[in-house]
Amino acid sequence: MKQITLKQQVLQGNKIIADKNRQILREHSVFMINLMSSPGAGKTTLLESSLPYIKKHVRIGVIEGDVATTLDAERIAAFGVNVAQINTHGACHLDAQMISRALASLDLNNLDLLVIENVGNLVCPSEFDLGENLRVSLLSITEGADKVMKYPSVFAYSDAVILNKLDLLPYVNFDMDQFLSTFQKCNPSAPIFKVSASNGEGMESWIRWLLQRKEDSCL
Amino acid sequence: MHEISLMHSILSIIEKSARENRMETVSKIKLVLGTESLVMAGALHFAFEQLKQKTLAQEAVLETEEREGRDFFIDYFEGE
Ligand SMILES: Nc1nc2c(ncn2[C@@H]2O[C@H](COP(=O)(O)OP(=O)(O)OP(=O)(O)O)[C@@H](O)[C@H]2O)c(=O)[nH]1
Ligand SMILES: [Mg+2]
Repeated sequence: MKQITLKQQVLQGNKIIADKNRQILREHSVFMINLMSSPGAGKTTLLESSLPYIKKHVRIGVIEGDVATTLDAERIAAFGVNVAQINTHGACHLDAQMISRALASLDLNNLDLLVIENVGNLVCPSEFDLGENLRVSLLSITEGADKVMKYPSVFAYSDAVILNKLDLLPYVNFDMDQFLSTFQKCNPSAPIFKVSASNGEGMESWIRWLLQRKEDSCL
Repeated sequence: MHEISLMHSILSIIEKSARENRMETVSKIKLVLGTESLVMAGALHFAFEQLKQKTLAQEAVLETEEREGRDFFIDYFEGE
């Protein structure tokens, strides 16, 4: 009998492709962000209200990840933005291979910024490096302030968190202090942006931060 | 939630390595799961039983060890 020691990370294959994606994007001077949240927290709505402003400053493209349908891609395409739809056919997350195929379908020479809307899921997407430069997580106040504690990984490994649906604050029991203190404990350096994607409140400061981070990256 | 696709990659890594080492069967696979890796041992065992059929590992047993941290790796496998 033989024993073969591998010590091989199971997700190493994904990481290699993710690094390749990052390399391709660097060669084309494209900055990529990975937007993650539970279903319905407002990722597409946030993009819809950010796009008109972002478009004034940079050439933006979007990769839409969904289990099924092209509904979100259609919402984004209505803004005259380059969009690639990925359907995962049941998979709960995007992986680097799917992004690599989507990159091949986009005209990277005519893009400065690429936003990936990941599959709505607070658990699995955070495990998969896609080759992004920034990770942004979104939480809507209707989900409850305890979600940072219950799903720590997506929030702990984010470069920023956007707290959405602020317009509903008068109608839901959202414990803002609990949210702020648990988030700061789990991720002390990431900024928190309070917004309402549907009425536009707070959008400017998150977009300004995003464009600044893109500039700082020299991409 | 994605243990089936993870087990799929594990089995293909092991089959490849077993062939490279001229092994015909795999009798044991040992994995290390970090407590922060969000991978569920139970779901992995379930996926293993389904997916090992018709592979070099069809007679193999799966052992999983939990450790602190984010790691999720194949420690070793045995066979002949
Ligand atoms: N009141 C309010 N509703 C919002 C806000 N943002 C999004 N919504 C609503 O929330 C619902 C879900 O929004 P989407 O933008 O589709 O959510 P999503 O995260 O893209 O959902 P998936 O792609 O399915 O994961 C829609 O009915 C939106 O109109 C907000 O700031 N305030
Ligand atoms: Mg959406």
